[in-house]
Amino acid sequence: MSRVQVPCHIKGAVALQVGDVRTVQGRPGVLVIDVTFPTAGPFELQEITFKNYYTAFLSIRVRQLGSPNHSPNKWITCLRDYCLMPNPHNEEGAQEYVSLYKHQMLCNLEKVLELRLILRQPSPLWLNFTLEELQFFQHGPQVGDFFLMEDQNYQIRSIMFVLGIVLDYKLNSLKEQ
Amino acid sequence: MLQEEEDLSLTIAQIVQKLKGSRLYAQLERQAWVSLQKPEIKLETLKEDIKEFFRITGWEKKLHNAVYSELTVFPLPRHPAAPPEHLKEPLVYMRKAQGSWEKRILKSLNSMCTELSIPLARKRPVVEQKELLNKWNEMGTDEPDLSLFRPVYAPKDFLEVLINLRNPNYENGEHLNFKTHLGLIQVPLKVKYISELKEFFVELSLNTGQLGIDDATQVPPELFENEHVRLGQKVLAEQDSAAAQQYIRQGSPTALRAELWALILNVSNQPEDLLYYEQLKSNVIQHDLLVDSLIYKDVKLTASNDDYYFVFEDYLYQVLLCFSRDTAVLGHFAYNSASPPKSYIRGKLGMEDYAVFYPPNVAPLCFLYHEPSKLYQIFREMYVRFFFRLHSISSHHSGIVSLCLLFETLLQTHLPQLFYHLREIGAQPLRISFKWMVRAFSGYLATDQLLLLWDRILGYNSLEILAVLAAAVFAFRAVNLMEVTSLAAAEAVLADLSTLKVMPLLQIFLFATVT
Repeated sequence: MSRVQVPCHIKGAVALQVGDVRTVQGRPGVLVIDVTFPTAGPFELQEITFKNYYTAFLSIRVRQLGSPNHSPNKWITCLRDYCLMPNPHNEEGAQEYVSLYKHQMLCNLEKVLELRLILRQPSPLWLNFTLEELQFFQHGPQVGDFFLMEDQNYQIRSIMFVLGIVLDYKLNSLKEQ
Repeated sequence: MLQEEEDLSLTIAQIVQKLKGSRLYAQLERQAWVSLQKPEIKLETLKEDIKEFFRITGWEKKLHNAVYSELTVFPLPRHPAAPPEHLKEPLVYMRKAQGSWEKRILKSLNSMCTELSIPLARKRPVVEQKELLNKWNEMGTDEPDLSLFRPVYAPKDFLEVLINLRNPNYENGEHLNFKTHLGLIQVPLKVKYISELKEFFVELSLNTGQLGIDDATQVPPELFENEHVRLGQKVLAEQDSAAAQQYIRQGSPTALRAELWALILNVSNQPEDLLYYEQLKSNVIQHDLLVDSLIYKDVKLTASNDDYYFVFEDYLYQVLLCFSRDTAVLGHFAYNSASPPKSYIRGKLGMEDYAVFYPPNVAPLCFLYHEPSKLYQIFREMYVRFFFRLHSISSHHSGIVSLCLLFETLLQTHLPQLFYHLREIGAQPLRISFKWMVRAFSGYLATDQLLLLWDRILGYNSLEILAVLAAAVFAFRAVNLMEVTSLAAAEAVLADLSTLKVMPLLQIFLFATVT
């Protein structure tokens, strides 16, 4: 599937903490990252990719362009507590590359205006946590999709496809004779 | 669903890519052409007929085995955005640690070169080549002066590096918290709990027959052993790698072991393999590497002095010298966190593998295989699948760091009194068990027990059993260890493992310990 990256503006992470940040001991367990798309208008979000850095759970809220007669645009949760680290105290999944697709979301992402990423890391053992290399993609041009699907189906059909390719080649060369 | 399909097609594409360059692909093509002469192949149903032909003649099985072998060895397809270093090792600080460890080894090697004024690599003069060719089969009788060579590093040095491994993003403070590591390893990798280990090693449970336990002289062979041997012969007749891997989890009969291992590792003895080995041999004869002297010294110090392995001294030289020149081994660096150091031989690029090997890893294999070329193939395959993980710093669940952490966690959870006592007397358990794990217990266990252990390594495709066995040994000698008062005394209690029976220890520790 072809995809096109959407230029975005990522605001710095804001820690959510009860009480005064300076006086309270302990690290914040919740961070919020706001993402706006000043140059692109409302678009259909296809895919989000990023590199995890010790974030355990991810929630995403989206604000979409509502229809003209309705009330002003509301925030909707499109991903709730997506687990990036199966055990928040271990290194598993801590620095992995992740892709999230629109079929994994709870709602349609047709006219996205801005996104809010809510990062949670309940374990007190990590000094920092965040998401790096955030990228957002929308659907690219549709040419050639049909042929790609056909090819994938052919490949998925049998594990002996190596033979299939050899035999197809032989079949074609025999037909030509 | 869409994601799984994409992952599957990506895996398939990668496997095709690898198989296309292999000998098997050329052989299949040749066979397909030959089969066209046969009368039962008809043009209208060409594809189906040829597939049927392959199935009958056993070529389909070979293809299955090759694909299965690729699937077990190759790591999962990576995310398209992930760089290749990420595939080798996802954690950045581990990559850095491995890089600095390699630099240290190379520096040591280079300083040894300049001190002794010996080049890292040189071409042998013709006279010397002839001499070496003549005594290729008895290199053990050679007594070169190796007193000036010192080993590049010992397991103790490597352990120190692992102990000092720290995650910069981790709370490494002085205060004790609920997750303080009381052992030596201070990185929070994921290791299996004993309940997960019980599930993983379910074929080792008390209800399942095991070679190593149920073939003892007191047990009548009709109960288990005869049936197991019959099953083994059937598996070999079918030539199915996946079935062999499942079968060997209960141990392999001695008579079938060599063939079973070759089947699981997908090593076949074709004429091309013999030719490849001869080519490596001629490389050894033409060029002399500094590493060769280090290998000599290592073998002389270890295997030659060992009661069981001294007979294989000559074989060890033949295999290890060739191994250090084998560029096919470079393929495994795609998923190994290490990188190969390079050395130049008068302008021609030669590739060098690790500076120090652990020859006892080869020695037990000498009991199974007699021809050097097959021995070499098996050793190489075992190295690139398993043993390289014991020498490099990575977060893989079979890597040495995870094994050490698994050992310490098991000991702490199930023998807390023993662990505390040993820690108090300054005898951290890992200091004693590290040398066992890093050599996969070879040189410490009796050979038949060692081969039973390595059967399970192949069967489960993981080295975690080494950590479980190390913990089981401590559990077995717990009573004596509780009475010692120093590290030296603790080492003395655990010095001799040659009388231990591996399978009962593992079974008791995993399935019969009351906690």
